[in-house]
Amino acid sequence: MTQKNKHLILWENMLKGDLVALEALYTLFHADLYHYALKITEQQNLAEDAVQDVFVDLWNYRQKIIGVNTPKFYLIRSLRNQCLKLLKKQNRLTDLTSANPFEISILPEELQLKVDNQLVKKAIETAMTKLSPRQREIIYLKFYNNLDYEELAEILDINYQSVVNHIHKAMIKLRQADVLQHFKY
Amino acid sequence: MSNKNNLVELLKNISFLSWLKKEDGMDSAHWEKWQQENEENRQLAADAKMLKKGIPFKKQQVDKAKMKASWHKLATKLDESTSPQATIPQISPKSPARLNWLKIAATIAIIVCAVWGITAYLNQAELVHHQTDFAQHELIYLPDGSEVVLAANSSLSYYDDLVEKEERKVELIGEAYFKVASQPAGKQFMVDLKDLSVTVIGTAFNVNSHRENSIISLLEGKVALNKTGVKTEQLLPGQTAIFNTATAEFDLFNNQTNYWMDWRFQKWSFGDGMPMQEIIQRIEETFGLSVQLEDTAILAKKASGSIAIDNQEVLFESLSYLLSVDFKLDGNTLLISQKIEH
Repeated sequence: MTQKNKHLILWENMLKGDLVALEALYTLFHADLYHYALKITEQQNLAEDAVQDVFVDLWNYRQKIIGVNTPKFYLIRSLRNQCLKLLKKQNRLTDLTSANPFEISILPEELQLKVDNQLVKKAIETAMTKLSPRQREIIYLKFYNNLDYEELAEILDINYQSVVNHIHKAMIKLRQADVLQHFKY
Repeated sequence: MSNKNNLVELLKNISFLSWLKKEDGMDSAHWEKWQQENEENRQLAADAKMLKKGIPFKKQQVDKAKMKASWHKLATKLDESTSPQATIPQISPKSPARLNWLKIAATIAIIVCAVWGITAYLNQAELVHHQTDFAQHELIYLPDGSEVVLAANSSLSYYDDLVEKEERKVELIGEAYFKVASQPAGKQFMVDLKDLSVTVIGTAFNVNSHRENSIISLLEGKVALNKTGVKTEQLLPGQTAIFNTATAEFDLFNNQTNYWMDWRFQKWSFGDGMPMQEIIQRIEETFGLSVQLEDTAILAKKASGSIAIDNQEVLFESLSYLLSVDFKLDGNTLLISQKIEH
């Protein structure tokens, strides 16, 4: 059974009120969702709360949910909104009008590198800080969570072409900073 | 078209993506040649590769004990909240002994359900169904490693336990291009059409069953065409077979593969001349339009060369120029008339 089909079967059974399916979905996606929530909120408790809120809402409103093809995409989109809501309550958002009212960091420790070298890590860290917050969030969502361009466009409320352009520009910046050679694929 | 638009388009092109994914993927010769055409293409290919590779994140290890604790915390929140479908058994607090027994029974029942539930999720052979809309293609990776490009207005179905079966069978309605992975001994890949089945021996080929007469073109490898109990025909690379439903005979043609298979590059190749009848048929299959002719003399026209089909408007404009006809779209009906010369 393909992964995608397995997720959808679990999703449909969960929608019908199957608690075992909800637990299976929670177990499958918790790690990735928590990782993203922690990146946005930078607070462990708040990140865990956000993930739990998403699943509580999912269960309570399951009868109203229709037309989901990719459970993970639905969950990530809900989680991003939930994190923004919780941060707003704490008055921790930098600029509410901005499209990216929070900063996302990408640290060299989180990446697969060919060598474990301080100079290399420093270069990667500097290159990452030179990307815009939006570029960092998009490349994080794209390459950590393996979402496709259409899904990214919907999560971030921008068009398909902008998603490709953001990723393209970010990768060109990293290439110019000469750090791509250090990555182990 | 600007360089950036090109990149956006390329990243949607399934044949291109397949080539990027595996350097020896389907249509690799076409894209290798394209890449060497000029500096701009070489740069585009390099950038597309860079975008596909991205940056490699380490994945977090899941701590199972923490995970379980986190789920239990969530489960308590679910019980507290009003869930419309959850049926929580109401137990009277009068007899504690009975309550305990019920608790144990409930725990066992839940564990049994959980084990049965998860096993059931993993064991069902699920029917996988892909359907494309008009003017849409889809790239499908089958569980055995084969690749399929499903053409517009077509559907492909198979059971997801395909690899375990001796006959790895998929069913096609419409048109598709197959690049079949080489099969281990004792396994056979088969494509079922409405009246034919195609048995495959490690191969790339195209099947069009939109029409009354199915058309099969072979690019490489070997396929056998079987009309149940009636006919078997072997195809050689470069050959195209058209099955005549009325006579139950196969007509074989050489050197027509581009003519039948280039749709997957978002173009039609007209070969030595594509008759108007064939062009009309393709417009109807690809865009879901019904074509009407103002003058039957139009049927005598032929097109040569090749034409891009990714944009319906541009396609009609080019065809209009090529065939000196006018197109008029009215809802789902396309009216074709002789071009009025000024």
